[in-house]
Amino acid sequence: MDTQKRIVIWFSAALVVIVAGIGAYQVATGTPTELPRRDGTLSGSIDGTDWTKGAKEPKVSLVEYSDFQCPACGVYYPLIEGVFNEYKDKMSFTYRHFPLPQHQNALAASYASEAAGNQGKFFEMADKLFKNQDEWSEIKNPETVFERYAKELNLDIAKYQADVMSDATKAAVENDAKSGTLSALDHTPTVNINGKMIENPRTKDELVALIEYAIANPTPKE
Amino acid sequence: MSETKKIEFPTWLIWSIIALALIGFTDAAFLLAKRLSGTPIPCFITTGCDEVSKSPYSVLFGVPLSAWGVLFYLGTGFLALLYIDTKNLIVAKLIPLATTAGFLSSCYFIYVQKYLIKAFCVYCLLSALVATILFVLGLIIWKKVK
Repeated sequence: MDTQKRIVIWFSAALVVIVAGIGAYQVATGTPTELPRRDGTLSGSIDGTDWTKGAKEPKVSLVEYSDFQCPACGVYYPLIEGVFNEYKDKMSFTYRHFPLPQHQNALAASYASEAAGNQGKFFEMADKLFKNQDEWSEIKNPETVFERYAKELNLDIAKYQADVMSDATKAAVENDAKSGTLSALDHTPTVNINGKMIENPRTKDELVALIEYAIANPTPKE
Repeated sequence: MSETKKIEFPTWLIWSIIALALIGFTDAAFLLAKRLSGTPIPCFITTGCDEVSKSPYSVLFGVPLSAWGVLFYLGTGFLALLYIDTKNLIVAKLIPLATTAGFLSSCYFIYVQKYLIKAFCVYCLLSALVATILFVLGLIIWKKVK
C-alpha cells in the first residue's frame, strides 16, 4: 500500500475515533434526557409553575392530568372537587394539562385556563370549563365562549386576551403535557397520589379511601 | 530475515470488524464518560444501568471496566486497520486472540449481571452483543490463517 493511502487511512481512522469519543462524551455529560418512566411515578415534582390549591404542607398531594374537553374528566371533576373540599386542610390538588389530540378545542380551553390563572382564577375557570363542556366542546370558535367565561369571572379582558395567545401560555401547557408523556400517560384523567399513579377510582368512596390510606401511610420524600 | 507471509481476507470481513470496534468503542466511551462525570445513565429496555455501573464488580485492578472496554475496542480496531495496512499474518492472528478475550470477558460480565448484581445494563448488553459478533468474525479469520 503506498504511503499516501496509508496516511489517509490512519489519519481518517484517528479522526473518526476522536469524533466518536468526543460525541460519546458530549452525550454522556450533556443535559440529562429523561426517558418516559414505566413505573407509574410522576415526572417533575410539583413546583411553583404548577396550579395547586389546598394545604400548603399537605399530607397527600394529588396531581391530576386532565383534558378539559374529555367527558370522563368532566365526570371526574365534581368527584375530585367533592373530596378535595372535605380534605383541603390535609391535601393539595394540582392540575396539569394533558390535552388529547382528538379533542379539537382542548388546547384552546387549556390556554383559556392558563390566562385566567395568570389573574388568580385558574380553578374558577377550570370549574366553568368542566361544568359547561357541552357548550363549547363541539363548536368551531370556542374562544368566544371562553372569553365570556372570562368576563363572568371579572377578569381584565385585555390582559386575558393577550395571555391566551402568549408564548408563555403555550409553553406552560406544553410543559405539563410533556411531563405527562414522561410519566408515560396515555389517557385522561390520570390521577397521581403522592407521586404514584393510581387506577382511577370509580366512586367518591373509593377516592376517599385512597386519600385516607395515603394520609395514614405517608410515602418517604424522594 | 524471512519474509512474513501475506494473506488476503474478504474486504467486508475486516471492515465489519472495524465498524463493530467503533460501535463498541463509542459504547464504552459513553459509559466511561458517565462514570467519570457521575451523572445517571439513561436506561432503557433494562432497568439496572446505574446499579451495574456502580457495582463493586465494575472495576478491574482499580480501573473501571468501561476504560478496559475502550482499550479493547480501540485495540481490536487498531489491529484490523494495521492488517489492512500491512497484510501481516502475525497481525491477522492477533485479531482472533483479541476477540476471544473480549467474548470470554463479556460472558463473565453477563454472568455477573444476571447472578451477582441481579440487574442488567442495556449498554453492557450491547457491548456483549458487539463482542460476540466480533468473536464470530475472529473465528472466520482464525480458520483462514490456520
